Order: sequence, then C-alpha cells, then structure tokens
Amino acid sequence: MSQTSAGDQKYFLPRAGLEPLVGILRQRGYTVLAPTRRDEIIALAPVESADQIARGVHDHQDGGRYRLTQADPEVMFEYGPGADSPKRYLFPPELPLVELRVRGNRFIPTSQPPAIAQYAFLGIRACELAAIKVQDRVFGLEGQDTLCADAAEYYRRTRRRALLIAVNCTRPGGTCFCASMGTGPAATEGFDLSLTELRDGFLLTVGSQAGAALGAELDLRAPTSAEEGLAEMKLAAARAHMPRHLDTRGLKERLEQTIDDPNWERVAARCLSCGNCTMVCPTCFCFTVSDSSGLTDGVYGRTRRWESCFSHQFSYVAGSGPVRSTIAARYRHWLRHKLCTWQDQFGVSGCVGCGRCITWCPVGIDLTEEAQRLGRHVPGAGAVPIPKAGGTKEALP
Amino acid sequence: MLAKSPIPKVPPKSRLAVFKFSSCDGCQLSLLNLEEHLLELVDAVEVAYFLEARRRELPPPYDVGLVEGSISTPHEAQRIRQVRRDCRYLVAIGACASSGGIQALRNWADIGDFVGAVYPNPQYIRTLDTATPIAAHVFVDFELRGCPVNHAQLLELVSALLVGRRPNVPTSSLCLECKRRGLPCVLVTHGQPCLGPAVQAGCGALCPACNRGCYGCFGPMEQPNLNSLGDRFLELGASHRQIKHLLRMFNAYLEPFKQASDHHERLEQQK
Amino acid sequence: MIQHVADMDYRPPPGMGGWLPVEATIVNIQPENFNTRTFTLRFVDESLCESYRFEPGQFNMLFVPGVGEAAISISSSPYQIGALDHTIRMVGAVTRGIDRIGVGGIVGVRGPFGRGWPLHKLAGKDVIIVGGGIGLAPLRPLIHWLLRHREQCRRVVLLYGCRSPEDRLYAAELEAWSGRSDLDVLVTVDNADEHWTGPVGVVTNLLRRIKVNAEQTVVFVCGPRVLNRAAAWNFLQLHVPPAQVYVSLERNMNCGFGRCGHCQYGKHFVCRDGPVFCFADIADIFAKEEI
Repeated sequence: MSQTSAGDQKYFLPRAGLEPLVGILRQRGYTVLAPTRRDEIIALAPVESADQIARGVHDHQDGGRYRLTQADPEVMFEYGPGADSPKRYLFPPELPLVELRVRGNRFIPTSQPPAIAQYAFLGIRACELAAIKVQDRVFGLEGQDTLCADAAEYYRRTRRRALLIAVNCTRPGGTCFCASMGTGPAATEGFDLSLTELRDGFLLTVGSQAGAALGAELDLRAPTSAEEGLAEMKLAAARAHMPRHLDTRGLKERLEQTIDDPNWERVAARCLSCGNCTMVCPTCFCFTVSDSSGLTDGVYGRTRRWESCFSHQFSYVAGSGPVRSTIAARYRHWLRHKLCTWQDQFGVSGCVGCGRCITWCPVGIDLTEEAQRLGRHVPGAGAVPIPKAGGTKEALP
Repeated sequence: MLAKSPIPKVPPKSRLAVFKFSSCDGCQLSLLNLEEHLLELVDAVEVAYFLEARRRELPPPYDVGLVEGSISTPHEAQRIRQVRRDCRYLVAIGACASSGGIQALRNWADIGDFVGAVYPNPQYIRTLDTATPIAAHVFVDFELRGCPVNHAQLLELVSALLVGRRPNVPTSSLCLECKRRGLPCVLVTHGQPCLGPAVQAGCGALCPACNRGCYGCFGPMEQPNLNSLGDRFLELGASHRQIKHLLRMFNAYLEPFKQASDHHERLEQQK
Repeated sequence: MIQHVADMDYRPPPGMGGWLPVEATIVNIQPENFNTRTFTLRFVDESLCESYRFEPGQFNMLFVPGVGEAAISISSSPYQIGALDHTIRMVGAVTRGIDRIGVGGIVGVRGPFGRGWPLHKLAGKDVIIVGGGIGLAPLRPLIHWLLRHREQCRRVVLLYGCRSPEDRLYAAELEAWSGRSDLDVLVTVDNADEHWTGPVGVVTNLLRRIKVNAEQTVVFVCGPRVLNRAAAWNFLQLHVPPAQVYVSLERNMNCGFGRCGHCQYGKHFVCRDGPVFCFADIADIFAKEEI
C-alpha cells in the first residue's frame, strides 16, 4: 500500500494479517485492548497476540440476561459488546488525582499526575465509537471549554493518543438498537481503521492519517467487487435484523413533557436503583471526587470515582438532604438526561443504542420500551401492561 | 450508614476502646488483621481498652468506642448503657452490632426450646428472648456493616475521625463496586440469585469476584427494592423458601430484610 | 444547546482550575448567629490577591485537606480586593472543618465558579432583592455593587427574612443600609423578641408594604426552597415578567464546572449554568418535585 492520505480507501486484510497488526501496534508502544473471553463474558482487555481475541463464540443478550455459546471456531467478531466499553480506559472507574502535604501555609503536591497510557482499541464497535464521540464532547476534547482544562486532562491526553480500530457488526446482539440511534451497525466516522469480517479475512477501511500509516505496514490487497458487495450485504442484513427499536422522531420533545408522567412510578416499582445501567453505559460520566488521609503520614489524597445518579446520596445537600429521594425521581432523571436533556447540554443524544443498560439491568428494564411508553398517557385510559423481564426460567445452582 | 450526629475531629493520641458483646470476635480480629496498618493505628491513637489485644485497661472516658456484637443477655443490656456513657463517639462495628447478627435468627423462635435442647441444666442460662442491635438500646453515632467488617472501612473510619471527615462509607448498592471492578454479573450471566442490587457496598464485591451471588453480609442498602428483586429471583426459578433463607442470614433482623423475609415466609406457607 | 462558559466574565485564574486548590489564610472570623460565621480569606499568593476577580453571585469551592470541599457563595463586595468573605453555616463536615481551622490557618480555594446576578439587566429598573436566612450571603456582593452603581437603576429594595432578630446576618451592615436614603430595607422575623419592633412573618408578607411597578422591576431571590418558590410565585402574580425574576439555587456540587453531574437540574448544571437562574429558563421545572 503506497497511498497514505486519509480517505475512504478499502482494502482486504487476510485473517492471518491480524497477528502482524497486533505485533506492529505493540512494537509502536501501544497497549492493545481487544474483546477477550473472560469467565462467561466478553471483556475488553489487553492482548499480546491476536489469538487472545475472543473467537468462535456467540452471545445471547436479552433484558437482564447474557449468555455465551460456542459457534463456528473460524468466526471472530460475531458477538456484541460486553459490559465494558472503552470508557473504562479513557475515563477509569477510579483515578487518583492528587496527593498533597500541608507545609506551613502551602499545599505541597507529593504525587505525579497519573501516567498517560497509549491505548490501541482493536475490535470496538460503531456504537462505542459514537460513545467516545459523546464523551469527547463531555470532557471538552475540542478544547473550547477551558474551565475544566486541568480537571479533564486525563481523558483528553489518553484520548488523543488512542488508536481506534473498529469492527463493523454483522451479527447484532439481542438488545442492540444502534440502527435507531443512527450510530451503527457500521462505523462511518471517528475510526483510524475499520474492519468488516468476511469468510477468510476483513474488508478494511482507512479512516485517518494514522490509520493509513498503519495500513501501509500491513499486507493488504485491493478487495474484489464480490468482497465489497458481501460486506455491504452483511451490514444491510445486520441493520435489518436489529432486535430492538427506538423511535427517535420527536422523542426529545415528547420526553420534555413527561415530568408528571404516571409511568415513572410504574418503572420505579421494578427499578432496583442499583446503578448497573449507569456503570455499563458507555457515555455516563458522573463522578465523585472524594478526599482521604493517612493515619499518621500527613498525606491527603483526592480520588475520582465513577458515581451513579441512582445512588440516594448523589444529590445530597448538606443541611437539607437528598434532592431526588425516590427511585421514581432518580429513574426519571437518568432517562430524561440520557434521551432528552443531554442534547441541550452537549448537542448530541446521550444514548448510542448499545443496549448495555437493558442487558445488565438485573431485572431487565428495557429503555426502548420505557421511552416509547412515556408521554403517551391518556388520563383514564389505563396503563400499558409491563412485560416481565427477559430470560427463561432456570434452575438454581 | 450515614453519620447520625456531627462528625467530630478527635485529636491525635485519642483514646480508642473496643468492646465485645454477643459475637464471634471476627470484627475485633479484623482490627488485629490490619497488619502493617496496625502499627500506624497504634501510633495514631491510644488503644485504651481492647481486651482481645492487650491486658492493660485504661479507665474511661474514651474518645472513640468500637462495639462488636449484639445485645442478647440482661447483663449486656445493662453494660451497653455504661459503655455509651464512657464513649464520646460510639461506633457499632459488624453485622451483629448493627443488625443483631446471625444470632438474631432466634427472634423468630422460642429461646426456651433452644436452651432446653442445648444445655443439660437450662436453669443456669440467663438470656434475653431476642438478640438486638446496639442501636436498639443506646444512641449510636455511626455504623460499619459487614460480617466481618472490611479492613479498609475500619481504617477509613479512624483516619476520617482524626481529621473530622465524614467517613467515605457508601450506602449505595454493591453493584457499583462490582461494576467498577469490571466483574461479570453473576445474576445476568448465570441466572444466580445475587442480593448485590439490594445490598450496601463496602466489601469490594468479594463473592461476585468468586463467581458467587452476594448473600448480603453488609445488610440492606439505602433504599432496597426487595419486592422487585424477589420477583426476579422467582422468575429465575428460586422458591420462596430459598429467598427467605437468603434474606435471613447475617442481617436477618434489619428492617427491610426482616419484612421481606417474613413476606416470603408467608407465601411459602400459603403454598 | 446551552451556551458554554466561554462568555462568562470571571473564571478561575490560571492554576485555580485543577484539582489542587490554592491556599488562602483565614484572616478573620465574624460570628453572625448561633451556627453561621463569616470567614475572611486572603490568598497566600499575593499576585492572586490582585488578579482574582468575581461577579456577585458566584461561588468558590472551599477545601479542607483530608475532609473535602464545599461550594460556598462569595459574600464580600466585589470591590474589596485581596480579601474574600464567605458566610458559612456549620452543617457539614467541611464547613465544621473550616471553623476548626480558625484564624491564621489555611484552607484551599478553587473558583470562582458559576454565573452570578445579571448586572447588565438593571439599567433604569427598580430592583427588588429578596433574601431568606443565609440566602443573604450571595446577595451581599450584589448590594455592594448596586450601591456603587446606584445611578444605573431606580429604586432598590431589600426584603430580608430570618427566624429571629438574633439570626440576622450582617446585622450592623443591615442597620447601616437601613439608614441610607438610596436603599429601602425591610426585615421581617418569624419569631420576635421583646426588642423587635419590625414586622413578623414570612418574607413574602413584606410585598404588601411595597409598591411593585411590575414591568419596570427586576427581582433577585435567594433563600430556602420554599422561599424561592413563594417569592417567585408572588412576583409573577404581580405581573413581573418571568424574564425579570432571578433565583439562586442550592445543589450538591462536587466539581464546580459542570462535569461531575451531581448538581444537575433538568438540562442545567447548577454549578456552571447557575447558581443564578432566570425564572424564564427554569419555568418548566421550577415548581416540580425532585428534579
């Protein structure tokens, strides 16, 4: 490959070319993060070889249910995203921010700023690219918001160094609705390279200068028109078989009118307020900075942790207590933020349609169903029946 | 749980006392198991009364009193009042002290039957009909949950009191800790009943990390929705009896668990 | 999309936007009532004393090492250079911690954050300021500013309510303000003592004592939630346009710049888009519970 300019160039990467790709990335100092099979889930984890990438496995996702089954050992990426997303690495669940001592009338920092890792994400999905784009806005990657310059430094620096190699979804997971949100199943922007899995290799698309430079080191050939056609067909089929759907037409305007909707109470009867949805959501960004101190060493620490708006103490105001004291209020806040007020704040929807909040909700509350039901209440018409959580009956171990 | 009273700042070398009531000593052992931090702790505070660790007893008053165990005898019911008077800041540590513990299971039975079955001469046994948490008897300033308490939370409590910070002891669900660690959810991936979504965080998701469901030794979280979680367990194939047993363990007598376990007991008997 | 902070006048000076707060010495503590004190802070770094500016209504995050941070309104005059007043009610670990540090000790400061009172909306208007309890604290810089720029607006009225005469904040200053001809001050208390000769009752009762020229009036409210609601409602009933009613809200704030999510209020981050809101911008959620 001789061209190095970014653009919509398509190539064919043979299956065996994945191993050299991992090798080159590692040589360049990247920590390669790819979907791996751990216990009974697909988890994004560092890999040293392409062999460690999960393959020959299908996932089965439904409300509150996630199972893996064996599949053709040759197929690689025929599973949807697991609970983890790149958020874990770009916006870590726990990050020590600063440690300090008090000397006279000065605070003396005793720690270095957190080290900035160099990540190459291999095999992330279109919805995850979209989620990264959302968090780029939240943490002000473009830098127009200088107010939190220092405070969002870790995200910005890690993000700028990260390489994104996407895999287009040819087999959507059971709770996916990316087609509704306009984020998938194929990656259209924001990647360095994207792959579409075919029988004996991948159709590779270059999305950036960095991606082109990387492609130049790979053993690529031009794709045949049959290969390009097959990739198109696979993605069209995935789009057509998207298991869930969210009608986004007028959704924001409808949700704006739902503060007094009786359905919040109905969801609250099922919602555990456990916060799983917010932890697995690839765009949720809430955090708490908490302070600590050593017993005797006089060192004070400040640590940032993922926090959930479902926790009762989240909105606690000293002297007057929590603002959102009921589960209904917290669910309302989360859903309206995700699908409605997020757009006011960041100019983009907070939902990318990955379906994680549905799969990992212990009782299988379905965001797409709840959002459809809201704002349609006709007084006296009786409520819409709530379907039970997904998942079949299983014997206790 | 949250502080019930303002957080004091105790001066360095404050006097710490540790008291034992009806319990297994496991929480006191957690204190001794702090290993490298134990020396720091002894440096930071004066251990004035801690019979499990040292014979020397300094007289009251104490700045901070840690109380392990539930109140299950008439003598204990008397003694806890004196302990309260002796301590400026009283902390109940562990499931027994904060909920009555596993021995509170007798609150559902006739204590006379137990005593008669176990002891050849039951007339010498003086015991109360119930085992109850410390807070049922005296005002408690703070509680640390768990069976046993978590090392990190014990250290956090002491270091927080030394600077006057509200101890960073979350009251939210265990799921938040579990997910921050990136553990696979045993309920979603195995269909295993796990109390995590209704249980207070603090242990660092020990059981889910070993592929086991949480059995709630940290007790109920701030606003547990046990109705919905119970329904989910039933869908997963658990029986009312199994759910009742899951709830009636270390924190059986703590209110939301007590009510929910009674509910499942009634449904079990109706069948 | 909400306009970001780029158009805000006062933002943290360089070095004050990160997670390591800058040091300030407590130079004075003035008791206000049984649980409220005014702390005067002076930056240890002299150059900051000169360069630090804020607009009335903004707040700082005050930091006690090892204890935490609390969002506290700046309550001194914007023209008082080098020393910042913060009036604090001792209700949490951080606020008690600041009290414990005492005169001569140091606390950390990040700020200023948020949007203050819209000073550019006052020209040629009547200004009615409504404060309740500690809500007078963020209004005090505004009053100082108004007294400096008195010629810009017409009448200025301060309506203040608190529990009892002893609970009044800035008692001496209130007395001095009462004596001025260019400022009308009305103070009411819930519980009077034998020396109190002023009105008794809730602060909104004071509205009966003043003439409101609705179209020409701008209203600034800061107090507990019930007061904010009652006052806003009363002025709207008097046909003051919603775009001329401003309310300062209190929320749990952790980061101060609209990222941590704690203080969200509908589509707003109170720490970034507030704490001062125009009623017209929050009319859809202002009367709702648990937003």
